[in-house]
Amino acid sequence: MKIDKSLKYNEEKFNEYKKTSADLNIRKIKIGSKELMYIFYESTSSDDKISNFFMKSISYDVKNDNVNIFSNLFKILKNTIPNSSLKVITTYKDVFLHLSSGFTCIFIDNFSEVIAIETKASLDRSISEPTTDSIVRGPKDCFTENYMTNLGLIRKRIKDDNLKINEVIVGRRTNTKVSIIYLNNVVDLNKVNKIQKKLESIDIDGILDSSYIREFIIKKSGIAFPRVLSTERPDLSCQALLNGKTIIMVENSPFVLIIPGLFFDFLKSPEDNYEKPLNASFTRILRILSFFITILTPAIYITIMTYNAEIIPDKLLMSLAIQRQGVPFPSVVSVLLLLTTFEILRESDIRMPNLMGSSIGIVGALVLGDAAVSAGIVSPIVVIIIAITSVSGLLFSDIDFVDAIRWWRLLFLIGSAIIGLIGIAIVGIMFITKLASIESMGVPYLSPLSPFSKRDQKDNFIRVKRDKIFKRPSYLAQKNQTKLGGNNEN
Amino acid sequence: MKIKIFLILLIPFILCGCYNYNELENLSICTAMAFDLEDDLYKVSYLIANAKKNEASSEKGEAQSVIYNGMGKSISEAVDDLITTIPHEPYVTHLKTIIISDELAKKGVQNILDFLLRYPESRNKFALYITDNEKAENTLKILSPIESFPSTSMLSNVKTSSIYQSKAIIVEYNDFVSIILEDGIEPILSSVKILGDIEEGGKTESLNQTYLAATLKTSNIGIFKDDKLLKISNNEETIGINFIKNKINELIIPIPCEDNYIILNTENSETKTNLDFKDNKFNINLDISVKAVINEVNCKIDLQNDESIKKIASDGEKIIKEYIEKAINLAKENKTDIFGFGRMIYKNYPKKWKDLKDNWDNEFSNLNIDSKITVKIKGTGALKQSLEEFK
Repeated sequence: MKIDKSLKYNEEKFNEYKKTSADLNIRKIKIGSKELMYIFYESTSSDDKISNFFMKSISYDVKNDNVNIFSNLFKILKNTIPNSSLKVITTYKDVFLHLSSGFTCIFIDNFSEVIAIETKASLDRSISEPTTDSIVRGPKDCFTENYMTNLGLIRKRIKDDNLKINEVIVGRRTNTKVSIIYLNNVVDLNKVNKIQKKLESIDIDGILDSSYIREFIIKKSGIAFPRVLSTERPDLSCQALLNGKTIIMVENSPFVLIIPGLFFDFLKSPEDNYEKPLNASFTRILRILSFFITILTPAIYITIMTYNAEIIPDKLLMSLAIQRQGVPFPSVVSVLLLLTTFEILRESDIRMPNLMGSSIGIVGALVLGDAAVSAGIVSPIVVIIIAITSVSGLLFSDIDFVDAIRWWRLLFLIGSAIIGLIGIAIVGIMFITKLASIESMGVPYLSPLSPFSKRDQKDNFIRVKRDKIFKRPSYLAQKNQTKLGGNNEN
Repeated sequence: MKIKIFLILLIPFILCGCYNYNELENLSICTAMAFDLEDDLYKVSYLIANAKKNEASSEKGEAQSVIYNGMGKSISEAVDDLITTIPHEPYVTHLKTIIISDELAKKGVQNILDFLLRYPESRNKFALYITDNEKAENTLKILSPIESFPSTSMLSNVKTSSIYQSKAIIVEYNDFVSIILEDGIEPILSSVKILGDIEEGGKTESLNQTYLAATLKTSNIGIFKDDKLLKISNNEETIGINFIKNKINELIIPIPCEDNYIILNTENSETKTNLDFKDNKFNINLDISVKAVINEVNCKIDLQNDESIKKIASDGEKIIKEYIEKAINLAKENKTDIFGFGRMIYKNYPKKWKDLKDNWDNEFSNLNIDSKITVKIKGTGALKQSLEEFK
């Protein structure tokens, strides 16, 4: 609805509105013979900005006193308010939108356009260390809930005019800004357009966090591995941008989404780029090993205890048989019991605030396991197996990935509990089939292993010295593949 | 389409799920088997590891072993009789040793081989032994204090003696069977003997003493013809057999000098067998080269002198030649070709082997076997001269 010209009407309207909005402030000023009214939300605007930008220029004009016509006042205000962000709005809906974003709206009598100047208060925490993905060496700043700050952290790292930021407003009530960030002459523009279309077609009440967006972009989820990488670190995001990926940044959320998120991206950590190549390769191989350990160990234990005892070496056989004496439950039940206990302990470790109790975590778990062994509920080797499994699972930082591992570990366990080694083989076939058949935004999930590309192996399982990596990954960037050196303009 | 594939993959779960579910404690783990002949009936004994947790000691516990036996007219009937006494289902996959008494071996081991080959759960990688004038069941009663897995002790015993003594050999089951089935070679097996009092040695209290009441000792090689044991050789024949078969590792050769001995310890020995056909007769030439070290010198001899070293070497050669002659005589008298010369003839002169094949046992006695032995003494150990010379 277009704004009414009469100031009195507006004043009454907003006074009525103020009865149910405790933080709305209205102030009327007279300049010469003209009347002004400005309104702002005290909760989102900062008072000293209003006084710095607006009141000072008003008092200057009042002194000048060469304001005669209304339109003159408007033009003068528009040209002299020393605030860089000034907008002219014409509908009430826009007024409320800007008010909530921290703008101050200036109504002039007999004028149907409103000036909105930005006077936003800072309601965010400062840039601190990342909580989920910490590394030893390398930059330690992380994204906050402030949209512009996050964009700034990316802009100051990639100082290229090809860094494009497309913004979409999503959410009927929340009107959240969602932006797509990409490098123009590197990324595949079809994919960017696809993402943009998907975002524009979202019709929902409100977006509170980037994970809401994630559910719209990737339709089929469930037991599958995550196909979108979410991170808190600007250096990881910029590295993804340089490789040819797109980033989705959502207002009020410190986690950005990196699309496409492939399987091997979850097995890497940003620290790999800051260590020496040999050590980084070792750590990566260790991570792959621990991935297999954490998925397969309980299943292998069950199968050698119950179906395929032929595999065990002789001395271990006697020791295992002795340990099983006196345990009332079958092996499967012991393993499931301890697995559940460890999951409960892990979850409680995350939720418990620091004041209430500190070391329930792994130490408590081992003590619990030891007590269970003494009570005769489980055998000692089960505690070790479950401890190795759980600790190997802590190596991965993305929480969706760890949850997916949990599901597949359970499936392998069920498979081995029913037929032994054949069961593990069958579930293994299902696992690999599932992994190889999904794709993330058009890129196959197991690239660069599954459509094998020899040149991308330089940064996959091992990391080669940086001056030997010449091109961007072939599955991401089609044009402008040269990364390093030489004759490359645009 | 994907759902169809998943459903097909689920079929094994439904059709044969939980087919063989056995917790480890519900199995009687059988670690050694013994076969005997008693009153014309087969007697089969299993050595079952009794995995019981000992509350007094740590959680690991110690594996005691129990012997169960059964009798019957055939092996399967004996095993059947045995199963009625075992508490759980027998689990023979981890079987390591099989001991056959010499009485039964003289009668023929074919029944045992057939039973073991057909048994679907066995692994066919166990080692076979015969006993030297003992009952096979008694050998199972000797418990070893060192190993935790009961029959490993016997296996390591034999392994050690095969390395350090070159008397015993480890014969795996598969090799044994394939040698029996082959023309031109006859099998041999190591034997074990019990020293001491068998009644005392079988008790667990004897494990807690420093002096063991009874021990197992590896003994000489027994020679077979087809599947029947002929006789067990003596010490020198055993060493000779091992020389011809190129299975010598470390061996003590005592050389008499004055009224004492000089001891040589062989480090490396290689036997090359050459076959040729001359004057319508086959000739075997054994070329044995031995590298030895002087282990002990108990008489007055000058070790720095080249001549005396050469004399020691030639004396060693004579002694080894004696061993080999005794082994060949043993084989020729008993008309078994345990060395595999027939197989060699078959491989190199197949047409001529056809004529000899049927009568090989007699023809073998006419085979001309020559041997040429070289002993090279590499060193004299840590002392360069004999102690007598220093006096």
